[in-house]
Amino acid sequence: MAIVAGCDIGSVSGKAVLFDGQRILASAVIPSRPLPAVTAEEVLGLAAGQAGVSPGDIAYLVGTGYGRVKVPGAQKTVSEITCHARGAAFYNRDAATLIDVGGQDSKVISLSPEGSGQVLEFSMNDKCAAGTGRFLEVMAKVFEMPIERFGGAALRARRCLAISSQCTVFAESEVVCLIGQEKDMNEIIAGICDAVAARVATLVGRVTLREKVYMSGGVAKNQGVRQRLESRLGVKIWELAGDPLIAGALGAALIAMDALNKQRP
Amino acid sequence: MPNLKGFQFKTYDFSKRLDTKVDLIEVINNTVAKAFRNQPEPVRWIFEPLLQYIDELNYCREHPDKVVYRHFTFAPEMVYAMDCVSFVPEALTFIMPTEYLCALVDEGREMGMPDHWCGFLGGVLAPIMYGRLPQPKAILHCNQPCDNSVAQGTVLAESYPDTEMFILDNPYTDDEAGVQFCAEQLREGFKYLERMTGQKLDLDRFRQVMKNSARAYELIYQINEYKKAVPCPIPTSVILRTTSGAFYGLTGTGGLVQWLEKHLADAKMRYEKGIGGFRQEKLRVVWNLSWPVFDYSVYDWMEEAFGAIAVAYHSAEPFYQPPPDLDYSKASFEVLLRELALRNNNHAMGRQGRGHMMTFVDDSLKWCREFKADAGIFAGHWQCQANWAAAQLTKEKLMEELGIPMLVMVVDQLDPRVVSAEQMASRMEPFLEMVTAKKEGSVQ
Repeated sequence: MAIVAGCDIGSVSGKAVLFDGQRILASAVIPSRPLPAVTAEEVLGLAAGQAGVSPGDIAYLVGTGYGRVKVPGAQKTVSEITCHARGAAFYNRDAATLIDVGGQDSKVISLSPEGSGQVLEFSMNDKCAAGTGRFLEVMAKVFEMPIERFGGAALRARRCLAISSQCTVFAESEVVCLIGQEKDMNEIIAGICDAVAARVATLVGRVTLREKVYMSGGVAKNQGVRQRLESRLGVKIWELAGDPLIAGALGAALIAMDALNKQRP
Repeated sequence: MPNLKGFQFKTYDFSKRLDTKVDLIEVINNTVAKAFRNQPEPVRWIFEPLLQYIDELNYCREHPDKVVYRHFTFAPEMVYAMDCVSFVPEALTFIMPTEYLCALVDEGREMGMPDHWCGFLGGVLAPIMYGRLPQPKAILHCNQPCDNSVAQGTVLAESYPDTEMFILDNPYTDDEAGVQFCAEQLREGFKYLERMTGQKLDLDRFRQVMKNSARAYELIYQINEYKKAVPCPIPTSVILRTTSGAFYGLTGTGGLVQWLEKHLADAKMRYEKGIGGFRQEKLRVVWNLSWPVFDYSVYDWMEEAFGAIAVAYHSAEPFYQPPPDLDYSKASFEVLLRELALRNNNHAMGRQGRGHMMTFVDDSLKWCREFKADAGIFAGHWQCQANWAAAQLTKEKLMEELGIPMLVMVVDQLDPRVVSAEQMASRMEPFLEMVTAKKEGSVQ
């Protein structure tokens, strides 16, 4: 049984998935280190350890994410859009639209209807942190609150305060002002989640929105953003059958398996 | 599949502040011109029009009485008909070393240039305002294609207060009324040039220039027919680097005709042998607005990683069509004037920068259809706001009518600090993966 791996080096976290052709053997997620190569080695080592194998047992490795070219030993690199699409389709064959909101970029991917994970079209943000996980991180620091609690806080809000600035830096000042005005914290956080949703909704408008719609990436775990996005788009956003954070690494592992199979006589 | 890994894009050293108070034309002579002349023999011909234009810049320094500033969307034939030299200040930004361009943009900003001026316009603001360029005898300006370009007219007027300007109001429509509207203004333009240069228009010279121009359009029409072949017989570097630049600056000259004849012969030879450009063609791409100029390795990467060949460049290649069957040696001034108006209305970036948005959209469709494109890339020069308005509509139309996708991304054609070649490549990579998978009928 050959083992392949996908390694997704993002700006916030590094993810690795080991796959045997049928099932996910192991997966790992760690915070990104300053050097992508170090992140890759650590996260692959961790996943390999969980699977009870050594990194040297990996027959084919595909790197993805912004640090993909720095993944040591990767035989191939593939963009995260292609990988997220494959990963999402593996989890849910009925995925028609995938919204991937990562640490430093957001993408909306339209997938082929037959469940193969082929990308039909996509849109992504341009050189701006608004509408990404980084925006939420900056705001969480203002509240001195762990980002994991952000979504829950937004859901508890009775209303959503408007954050009118689209720029992360200006929005941060705006949030500080609202805190100074002693506005309800949950309502401010709901406004922040809505600001992210508004930016992502703009990206959705650039592709053909087809249901079912799923979310991947770290922000998929933020219920506040998900709810605001559903409200803006008027569609239900479903949860992937597996961990949305590792969808890209999983897609990379699936591509690795394809590549390995092609190599075999 | 090869990809970003292992590909070395150009790097820049911005740590040292360059002295911008230098003779820019001399800088170009000593760097870019030298590099063009030192190209290996098989590809040196590609750079000839650029060298011809650099020769003209040098001629300007020696013959100040012949210098006419021309807005880049103004057809150059008018200047050549007056036996003058067409000096396009913005063209310097295309041929100067990138490090100088960036230093000049910084200098422009330090002297008050708004941040929203792009590298193309911003790179010459300081040289104009500090009088570092050859003084013009006349200035031909116009009201397109963007607000900043129009604002540059004010800068020119303030910098050369003793030089009256001629400003062309480009027509909105493409019908006969639009042609006549332009022709009547050009009639006044000739009177203006006669007054400013002290020279009378020589009708025979005008005829020869228009004949050269018609021949150039005839040749590019024939070359473009070859470009439709699969594989495209013309290397990307020729399509992007030279053809468009040559038409921006040299239509009406005999030098351009001679170069296009070589270009046509090369295309014909390659076509007959069934060979493509420099690398194997797998995908055909049309650049739908601008294209990055500061680092040509991005095209090498596209070709190496995906076999993605640029087959057309929408906004700078002339809107080609067979020229009229006209005996230019006997043509009257009125006939020539009308022809010139037609050329002007369809001049590179002039056509794309005026009129109804659907002209841009329809042209995109036409180019992608005729050149059998697998994909479009709308590399939106960040200051071309009018064209940005057409981005989404163009994308939808290409998908709807031709079934091909279009990538939309921001660039500054000249300033890598806005978006670097590597950043562009990382944006193009998933797109080209998608197009490849679609074309091969397989999933990545």
